[in-house]
Parts: sequence; C-alpha cells; structure tokens
Amino acid sequence: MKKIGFAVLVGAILGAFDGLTAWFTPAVRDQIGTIVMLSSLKSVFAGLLIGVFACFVEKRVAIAVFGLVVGLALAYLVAMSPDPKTGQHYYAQIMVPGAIVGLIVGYATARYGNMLAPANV
Amino acid sequence: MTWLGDDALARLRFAASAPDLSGTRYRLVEEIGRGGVCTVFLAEEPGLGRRVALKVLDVPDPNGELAERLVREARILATLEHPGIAPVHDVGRLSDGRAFYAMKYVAGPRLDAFAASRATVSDRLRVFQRILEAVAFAHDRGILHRDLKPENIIVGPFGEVLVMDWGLAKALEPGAAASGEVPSAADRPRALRSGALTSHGAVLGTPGYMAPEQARGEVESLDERTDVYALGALLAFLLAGDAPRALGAVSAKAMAADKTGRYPSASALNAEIARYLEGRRVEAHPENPFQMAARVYARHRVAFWLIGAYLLVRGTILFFTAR
Repeated sequence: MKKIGFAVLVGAILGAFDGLTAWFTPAVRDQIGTIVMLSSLKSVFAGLLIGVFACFVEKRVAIAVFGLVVGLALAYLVAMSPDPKTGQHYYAQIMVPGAIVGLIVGYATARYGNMLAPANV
Repeated sequence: MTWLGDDALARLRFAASAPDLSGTRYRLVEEIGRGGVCTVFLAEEPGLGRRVALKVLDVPDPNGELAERLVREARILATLEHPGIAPVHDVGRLSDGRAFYAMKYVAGPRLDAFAASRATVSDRLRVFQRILEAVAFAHDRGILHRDLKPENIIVGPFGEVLVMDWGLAKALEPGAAASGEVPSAADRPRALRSGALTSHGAVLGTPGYMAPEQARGEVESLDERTDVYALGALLAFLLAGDAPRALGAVSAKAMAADKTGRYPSASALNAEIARYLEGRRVEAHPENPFQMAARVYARHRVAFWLIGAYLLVRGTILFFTAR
C-alpha cells in the first residue's frame, strides 16, 4: 500500500507539473486548467498502475520500464484527441514527456517507495 | 648414501612434532597454523566424517596457566554462537597432558590476503560489517576480543567472515567466561574488571591494533571501545591508502587516542559504515556544501538524470513549438 500511495503522489505532482508546462505554448494557454487537470489524472492513474505493479515485482529496472510503457500508453490515448481549435494532433509533444514522466514515477517508486523514515541526506 | 628431499624432511619434522591424538576421537591430517603458544592442526573426526581444527598447546606449561587460558578461550567461544565466530566442538587433554580444543575448520584466505585482492571499497566494507556484527555480538555477551587484526579474520569463499583466535578474549564481568555463564546485558558492568588471568600492567595484544589504554596495560579501563580502536585500525588496513575522505574520518574517529572520542560500540561503528554505504552523511566527517551536493548527487544520480532528461525533452519541444 505504501508503494501505491507513493506512486500516486509522485504521479500527481509530476502530472500537474507536466500540465503546467503547457503555459509556455500560447496556442493552448487558455486551456491550461483543463490540461493540468487531465495531465494530473493521467499521471495519478499511471501511478496507481505502477504502484500495484511494484507491489508484486521487486526488480527496479522492471518497475521503471513498466512505468515507461504505462506512461507512453496513457499519453498515446491523450494524444489521440486532436486540438479542438486546429484539429492538430500533438503526439510527440505529449507522448515523449509522458513516457519520461512514467519512467520517473516507476523508478522513484522502485527506489524510494519503501522509505519508512525521512532520509538523512 | 641417499639424501632426503625437502618433502621427506618436512614429513619427518611433522611426524616428530605432531601431537599424539590417541585417546581422542580425532585423526591428525596436517599442521595449518602456529601461534605464540599454540599450534593449530587440521584433523578428521571419523565418527562424524567431518574436518575440524585442533588448537593444541605446544609450549611447556609448568604451572598450568596456559592450559587454563586455552580452556577458558574454548569456554568463551562456546558462549558465542554466531555465524561470524567459529564454534567450538570439544575441549580436552591429549595423552601427554597438553590441553586442546576442537573447533570448526574454516578454509579461506585471511583478511590480509583478501585486502590484497581487487575487491571494491563496497565489498571491503561489507566484509568489515560482518566483522563488526561478530564483535558487536561478543560485546553484547560481555566479551572483548582484544586481539583483532587481519591475521585473525578469515574470509570464506562464499563471503562468510569469521573472527578467530579469541585467546586474549576477556569477559567484561570476571568469572563469567570462566564459568561459561555470561551475564545479561542489564546486570553487566560495561567496564572491564581485573580477571584471574590478566593482571594490571600486563600488555597483551598486537602493536598497531592495540588501543593506547591496552598498550599501557590498563586492564581495568578496557571496554568495548578498546576493540573499537582495533576495528578502526582494521578499517584503515582494509582500505589501504585509497580510502575516501569520509571513511578516513570514520577510521580516525574509531582510533581516537582518547577512548571517549571513539564510537561507543561496534554497533555504532557499523551504523556509521551503513550510512556511508547508503550514501548518507557520515557523522565523523563534517561536509561543506559542495561535498554535500556531490554526495547527494551520487546517491540520487539516476533520479537527477531522469529529471534532467525530462526537462531537456520538454525544453526542446517548447523551443520548436514556439518558433
């Protein structure tokens, strides 16, 4: 359960951050709220899947790769919807960062998901 | 006339000096080590089909003090059931009256041979942690080793580490080891009191690994920190010159001349080594901000690279879409 909670939390934070980067694209700036919300939801869902997977698999690389695949797949589903104004698809703009976010969530869950106490850095 | 070869001569010498094991359940195989007052032989125990190491007293002992010390060592070992300490199987006397005890035979290089190998710093530290665990266990049972040095540590082929030669071991509570009874941690005073076999002023140990108070013969003031000093010297030996600064500081703290400046126990030293291995801050080594940043980066390197890759990709996409 700890890993699932951790993965969902990291997914929510990174998803929100990823969505906020849309602010730098003037064409979609007016939809920033929707983008942040959907991006967060997507990453929360990815985090949930990754967290559950991490409960059954110990290997760090396997969890990270699973995160990459889940991130890529969910980003693909999002990128399938075209821009309502221009009708354009943003496959690369959504899928590449989405996959990396999934990879980060997977790695972070595998590496830090079991932390019990604050680390003495 | 036929000259004897070196091998034949060695066999004759061995036959002449070999102990007579008749009357025991062991059969002699070969000599495997020789110390100040004892010789260690490899022997077989036919009944169980196993090999054992026999430690036999081999110097004159007119007043029986050395024999008493050897038996006492066996009794101390018998109280220390730990994977890092070779178990004693038997204690007794040979037909010529010499005392001996039988213990598990452990084949493997000594720590000095291991240190000369190409083992990484992490591997060396993991071996060192096994030593610390065994010594901490002995301390918890009220026993000081007092002669920790590379020659007394064996590193087995499967990574097992055994602390050997407890001949100078001392009970923190007088009489505890001699009777085979070890006091509970709550009842036991932590300072060493004068025992039956070590009087004030007697200097026992190995130079370079002996704590200053041990070298001065202050038997009454010895405690766990005396072994911590030797452990610090072992750490310095294991790292042999290429120690990272933090580990150098750990070793220096363990070897502080004033024992109040050392780690209070082998467990505390082990915790410090664990912190180092996990990339956490080592208490013995104050860091400046740059050293701290380097350590945090080293500890979380992959995470930093992944975040960097994300930012790079995101920045590249923004750069091209903004044009």
